[in-house]
Amino acid sequence: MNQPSTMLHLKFPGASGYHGLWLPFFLIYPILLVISLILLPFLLLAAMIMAFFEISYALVPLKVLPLVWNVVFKTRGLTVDVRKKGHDVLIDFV
Amino acid sequence: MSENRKRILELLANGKISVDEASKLLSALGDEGAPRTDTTVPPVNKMKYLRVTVDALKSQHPDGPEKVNIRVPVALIRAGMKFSSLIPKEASEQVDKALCEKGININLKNLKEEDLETLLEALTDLEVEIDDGKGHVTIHAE
Repeated sequence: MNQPSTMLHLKFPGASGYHGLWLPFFLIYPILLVISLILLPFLLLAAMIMAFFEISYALVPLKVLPLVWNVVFKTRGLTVDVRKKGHDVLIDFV
Repeated sequence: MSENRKRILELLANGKISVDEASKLLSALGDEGAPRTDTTVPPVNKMKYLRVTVDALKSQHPDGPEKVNIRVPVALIRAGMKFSSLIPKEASEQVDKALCEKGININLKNLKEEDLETLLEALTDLEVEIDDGKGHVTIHAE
């Protein structure tokens, strides 16, 4: 199993040279968990209403959260490095 | 090579036994000491990342970035592909129609996970290079 990202490394130009930031990406997991728990009853309700009215994509609201979790957990290794003279930007999920 | 096999070949070289006899003796030995012909291909290293590199020519893009280097984990691509299941049927038909108008014949509903796997497998041995005179784009697997 892949390890989820723990840190987010950002590098961007500032007024005096470049700034490097190491953000604790692992903090997003508890935040996301809370948001998921808050959203879950609403998504369930939406799915039930859509199922009641026989809307074809009634299950879609229930699929959203697992998919979002899946994507967030698999960001480790994602790197975007843009080089432009004096304006280099780096986004790296570590 | 086993000692028995060597002895048979020596006897053949010295002319003490005929080729037929040597062949019979060697076949009687079976696989003993035969050189290993391992037909099982070692598993290809599973690709982990897809790297896209763009080198733009300064003369063509004076304000744009000079170099873009993107590394995308394959697991993330797989996870992202699953988002296509969220697109309602009506919306996917409209997307397909819009893509078709742009000359891209892709049916989103027909795009399955197996197709992506095949595409990713193909990319392990393939490197895509595009050079249109304005810049250079390379896509390869790592």
